[in-house]
Amino acid sequence: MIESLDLGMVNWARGQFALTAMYHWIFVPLTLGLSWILAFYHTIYVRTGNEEWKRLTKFWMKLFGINFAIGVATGLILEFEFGTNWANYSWMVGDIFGAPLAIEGIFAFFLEATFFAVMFFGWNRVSKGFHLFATWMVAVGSSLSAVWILVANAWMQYPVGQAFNPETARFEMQNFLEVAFSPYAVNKFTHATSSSMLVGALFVLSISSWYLLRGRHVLMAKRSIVVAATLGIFASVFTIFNGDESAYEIAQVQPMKLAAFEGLWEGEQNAGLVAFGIVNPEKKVYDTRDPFLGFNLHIPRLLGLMANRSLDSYVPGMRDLVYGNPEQDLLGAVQKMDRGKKAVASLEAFKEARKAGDQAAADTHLASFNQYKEFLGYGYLQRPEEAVPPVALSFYAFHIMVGLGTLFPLIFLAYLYFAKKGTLADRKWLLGFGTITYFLALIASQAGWVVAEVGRQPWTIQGLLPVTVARTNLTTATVQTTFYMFLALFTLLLIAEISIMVKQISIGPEEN
Amino acid sequence: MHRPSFAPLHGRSRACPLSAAPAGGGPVPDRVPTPAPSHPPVKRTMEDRKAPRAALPVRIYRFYRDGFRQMTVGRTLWKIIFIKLFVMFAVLKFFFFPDFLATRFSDDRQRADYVLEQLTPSPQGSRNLAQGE
Repeated sequence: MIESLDLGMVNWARGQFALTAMYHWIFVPLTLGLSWILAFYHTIYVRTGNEEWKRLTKFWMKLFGINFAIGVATGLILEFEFGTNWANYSWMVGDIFGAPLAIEGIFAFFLEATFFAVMFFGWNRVSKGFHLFATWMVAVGSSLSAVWILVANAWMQYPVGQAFNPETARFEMQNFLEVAFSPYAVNKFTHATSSSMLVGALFVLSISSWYLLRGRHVLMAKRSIVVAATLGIFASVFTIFNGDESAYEIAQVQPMKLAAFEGLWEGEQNAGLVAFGIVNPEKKVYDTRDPFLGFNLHIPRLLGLMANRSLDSYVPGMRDLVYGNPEQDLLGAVQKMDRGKKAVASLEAFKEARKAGDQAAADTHLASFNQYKEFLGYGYLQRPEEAVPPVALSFYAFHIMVGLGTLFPLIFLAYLYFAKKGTLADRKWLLGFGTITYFLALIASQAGWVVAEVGRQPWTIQGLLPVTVARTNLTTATVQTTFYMFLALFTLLLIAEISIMVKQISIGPEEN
Repeated sequence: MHRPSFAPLHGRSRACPLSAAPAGGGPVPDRVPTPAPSHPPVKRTMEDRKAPRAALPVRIYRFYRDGFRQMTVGRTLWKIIFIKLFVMFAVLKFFFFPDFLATRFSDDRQRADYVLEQLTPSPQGSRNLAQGE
């Protein structure tokens, strides 16, 4: 029951999921991004017949394979955690997640795995055309796998196409297409895919820069850079545009998340976008402290444009969303909690009526529940301030992601410029910086997920299920034990696996 | 029409960052493209052409078998994968990550009832949670 909940257990379970998800996300974006870059390299080889392009393609294919193998099964742990630490949530979303994850496993994974073997084993053993087709299919399959996982996560943020059935205590899918093609899901997929292309491109850039600094595999490095940087430019532009679209979607369906990652405590007309700021860690939604410490820089009116596509629009702040704002016709958590508690009370009365075999009473309470069910999650909050996610973490994660995302196209442009001039190998300062850009890309990519998942708190399912109800009733010690186990196991595996990758990079491409 | 494997798709005279020689006259590339293909075409004899090809499943099997046999780095990676999967399924899943609802309840009705109990507060319970998280 809720009143016997150990909040420590909830936080450890959240921490464990974050640890394992971030570990998984070290490898996934490189698989997603590098698979497409590889397809382009392979295409160039087939079109030109140039053996140097073959050597180049095989080298990056080897690194792709290493990353793929390292990442294998890292996602399985997350599935285990659903069943153990988040049993209530796992049961309640089973009907929604079943279809997307089944499609992901049956279709996308098999497509990817089948052509993966052809891609690796097919050199000189299958026709060039079929071999190239296999490489493209690996890229397609990887992205198709991502689609369904992202559809599932998007549904958690924007739970459409469903209806809660108190008989089964499950959210039941009413419209598969609405779930699969919700604008939130489409944006999430395009943003995750294009940003992963950035990660792949910067992976190539980093390693190639290292080779150029050492005067090794110069031609291969230059060619790799030119293609990766070109793709990176397109990916950067696309990521910026669909990132903006994602922010618009968030403003419509998760306004609290947007307010948190912008540090917007008080709603504003003509709200500005924060370019730089240090959030006041002491600030609470109910006090009048300054939201930022010291210097902060806002770009005027831009937040309204991002959130509502209107420069003059009102963007609600965290205070509006907690306490309500009648002038702006905004319901706050206070008002939603009142309706949510009616939903919970109706649900309980329905349960008791069903136990007693009183069908008429059960029908009455069911009708009452249906009237307030969209606020169900708020019925479990103890205080309206609980609706506010961790502001500092959301704010810094968002601004790190955007800051780095703005830097990446400039890096690609610089590389292409000097490559065109033929002086790239002489730009030691650029190459030196280039060697760390892959790690910057990883930081940006992880920061994006922090924004998505921390900004979603306290909800497992936005507005319908808070994390305090989604969890299994376990002891904190149980979750702590597995947390430290994962930490130790994953650290050991990461060291072993990265050493394999580094060794192959230091060896370089095979000689003719 | 057979095209030599070393010939670029476009003429060498056109400046292109993909060509071997940098357009701006930069540093000499680390290797000159070799004209020889990596493998000469296999000439099948009349007897080869007449010999029946193995069935498709057999060829697929041989494809994977030969592919795995030729792996070098892949062997180490597969060992790591198997170790990881073993630890996850035989140790972690079995001892530390039981499916809570699947192991404690025998049918969906019981699971639904349990979750519904979790969703509805006890009539006598108090809401005395710690402040914030």
